[in-house]
Amino acid sequence: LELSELEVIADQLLERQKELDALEEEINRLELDLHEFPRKSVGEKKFYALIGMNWDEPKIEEKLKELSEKRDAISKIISDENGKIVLALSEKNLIVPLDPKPIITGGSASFRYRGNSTYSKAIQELANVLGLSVPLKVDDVSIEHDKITVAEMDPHYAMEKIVGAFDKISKTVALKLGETPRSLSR
Amino acid sequence: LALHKLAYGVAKEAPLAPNPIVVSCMGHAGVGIGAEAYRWILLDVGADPKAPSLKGEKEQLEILRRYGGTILRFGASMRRGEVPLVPRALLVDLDPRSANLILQSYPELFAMRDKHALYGLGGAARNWAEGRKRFMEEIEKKQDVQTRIRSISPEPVRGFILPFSMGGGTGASFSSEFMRYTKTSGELGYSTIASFGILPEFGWDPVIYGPSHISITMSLAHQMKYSDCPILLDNKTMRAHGHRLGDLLNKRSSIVDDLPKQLQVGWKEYRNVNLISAHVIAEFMSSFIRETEWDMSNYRTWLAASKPRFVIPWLMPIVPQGDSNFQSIQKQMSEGNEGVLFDVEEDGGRVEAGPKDSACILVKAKGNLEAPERNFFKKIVQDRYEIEDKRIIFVKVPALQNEPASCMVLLNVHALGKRLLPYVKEAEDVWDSYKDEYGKRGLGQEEFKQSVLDITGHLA
Repeated sequence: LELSELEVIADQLLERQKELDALEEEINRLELDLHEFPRKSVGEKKFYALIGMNWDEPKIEEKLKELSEKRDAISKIISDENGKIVLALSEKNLIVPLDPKPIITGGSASFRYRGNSTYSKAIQELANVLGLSVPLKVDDVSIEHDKITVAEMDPHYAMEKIVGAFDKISKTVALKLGETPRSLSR
Repeated sequence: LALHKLAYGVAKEAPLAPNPIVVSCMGHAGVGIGAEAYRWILLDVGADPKAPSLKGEKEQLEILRRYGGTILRFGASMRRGEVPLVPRALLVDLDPRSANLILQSYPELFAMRDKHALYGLGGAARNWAEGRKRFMEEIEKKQDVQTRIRSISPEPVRGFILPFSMGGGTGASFSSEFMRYTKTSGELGYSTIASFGILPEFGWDPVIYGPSHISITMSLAHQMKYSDCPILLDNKTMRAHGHRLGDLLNKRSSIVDDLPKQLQVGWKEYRNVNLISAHVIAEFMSSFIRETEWDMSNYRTWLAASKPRFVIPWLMPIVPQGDSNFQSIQKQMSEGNEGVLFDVEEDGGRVEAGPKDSACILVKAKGNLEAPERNFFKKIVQDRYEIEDKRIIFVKVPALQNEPASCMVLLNVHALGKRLLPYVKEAEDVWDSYKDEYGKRGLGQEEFKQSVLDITGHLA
């Protein structure tokens, strides 16, 4: 998994999440309508009779069913995509396209992404998986959308620290994926 | 004047005492175990734990050789010709009752009375975040902790020993914050910290399953960051030994026996378990209070580059008996008085070896530790763990006349990480359900997840 791919997936996930949020809101509203329906329908029926018009019963349940199915489908897509990301991270399959030559300033080494690329959504997704915020700080390493900064002036040690940071991320994600731990009844 | 002359005379002849070590007991369990550890160490050398004192000049020199003034100090004399020895101990808890009981039951041992106790406004914290917040508000802000440490130990402190339970709220959080405070407080930051964290037995100890894992995870992360020698104990195994060797342990007196019966506040059931923890701490302390070649800071050097940094007390005679000769240890081992206090693989199977696994074997006995004695221990360790000879450290502790010989094998093994990771996983799994509760008390998502990241990266 390349960071650029993660950026695309994260962007899609973001869109899907927005869609999911909107659906949830609509479903909540419909559930409320359904709850209120027995009480309101009596009055409405009488009103329509009074004004001499036919009262069409709203099809709330059908609508609710349709939206719920849509919500479940989107949730599954999000969950599957997240699963793929988590798996790729845990298996250390993430390629981070950094420029190997850092810029050393003020006691730290900054590695920009190649071609001055930025990956705001990918880094945000990485932070989301870990439950942390951006910039993502792992020991002396700060992972941002446009660069990775290490509190280390020696490029060699800085590189080692970046590898160490991603190793730590990978181990933590693997812990999430891990099977239920053996009995902890100790 | 006479006392000053006496003290001067002693100081002139005794070896120069190193800077002291303060035992900071955290929470209900920590207070009970810490006080018990002092009792154990005093009983071992034949002192009266109710009121240890220096009487004649000869005895003073002897006692100074035993303790080097490291963990005890001279108190104000109440009887003519006697100088009381006072533990350099701080009993820290949210609730004043546990520390007060100890102080009331041992008024002459804890002779500095209230100066030994640091407590909050009462109650217990079953939640790590609440405990830490209350430590900051009720202890750190309201009391000058550095001054309190100085009142217990006027000389510059070179180390702290912290016993505490990791599964509850108070001990785990107090020790975490105390370690952070100490390591970031000027000169105290140079001191060596040895923490003794006790892992709970679920279904037995009074801990709540989910929050307990969060406490353990936060405590592990803090120990990893701030403790120079994080030692882990396992209540489940110790309880099993406490039960198995109940007859021997019951014969050994405990601090619980001296507490008013109606006020034993939960310690009674833990009498034998706490005696074992106290023995571990006492054995650890004896490795550097009598020996000038091995210092507490050597443990820091031993573990500085280790992964994981955690240590387990693996094997020791649970209740040392007999004379002070080395053969006495072998006899105890053959009679089943020994016990594995913390094992990495629960089923006792072969442990996956790490290339840098190491052991530190403390042997308290009379005489020299020659090749046959060393080989005896190496064989015991290497039968279970693939540790190279060159990575086994021997620390010989001189035993006094009539003091039973004993030993303790401390292990630093890679496989321990695997044993600890399930606690972190469980904490991670339950976090979402508890995060609002913890967030209200100052432990936010960011800090918790960062701790998970740190400790997982370290242990995995």
